[in-house]
Amino acid sequence: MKEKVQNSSEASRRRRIQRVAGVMAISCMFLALALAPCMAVVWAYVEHLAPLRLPAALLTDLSIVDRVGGFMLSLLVVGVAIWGLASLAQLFARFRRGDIFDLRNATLLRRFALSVLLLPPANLLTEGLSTAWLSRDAPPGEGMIALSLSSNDLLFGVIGVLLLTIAWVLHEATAISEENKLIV
Amino acid sequence: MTIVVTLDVMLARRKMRGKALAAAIGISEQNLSLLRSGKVKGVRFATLQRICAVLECQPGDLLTFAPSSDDEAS
Repeated sequence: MKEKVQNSSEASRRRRIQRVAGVMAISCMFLALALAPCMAVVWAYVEHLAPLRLPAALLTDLSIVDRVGGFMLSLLVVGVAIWGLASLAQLFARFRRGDIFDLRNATLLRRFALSVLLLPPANLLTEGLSTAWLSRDAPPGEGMIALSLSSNDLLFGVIGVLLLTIAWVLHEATAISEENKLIV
Repeated sequence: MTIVVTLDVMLARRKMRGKALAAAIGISEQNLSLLRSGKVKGVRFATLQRICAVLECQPGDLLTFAPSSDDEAS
């Protein structure tokens, strides 16, 4: 009787995980697909939106070439983010299917953690390259390379390391789960 | 592996099929098959207790220790 109650509560917990994971898998995939088009919109209206960490002086009278070049450089950050989100979407899709403790899950979580860790350096690189690109026609001595670090970057680093550690723990948990399967 | 599972011997003595035992003790046939072939890493006391109750035997009738050269060295 006690075992039956335990099994039913375990099944209910699993169903809840699968429900949440299903929503998250679709959300992450949607975000991954929407990132590049959103960045294109940002560069089309960069003077008005200005969500980029670029000096305002560089964002006036931009030509199509400036915008396309800026967009291409932004793809560095967007690519890292898409890679991370796609890994996360795959991870949630596996949770939805009920594969909770699996080596592949640990690998996917590790990929997402790496993408989070890579975002600040990718952002820094994109920012430097974008300012250099946008100020390429400036008179000698007025070219610009802007680099900036914010507390958010530090936070990304901490979260990335935390997620890497969780991925490592998940890997260990998977090994224990595999061993438990061999105890009848 | 120095612990040998002798469940097959007990099943033969009791003239019982693995399928019937699996149903009686509430584990899957697949898990019982793994246990019979000794491919498991451990047996829970609860499982052992149920097997002993159904087959009317002692744990020692199901498991035997066969010393290997590694055991003698340690």
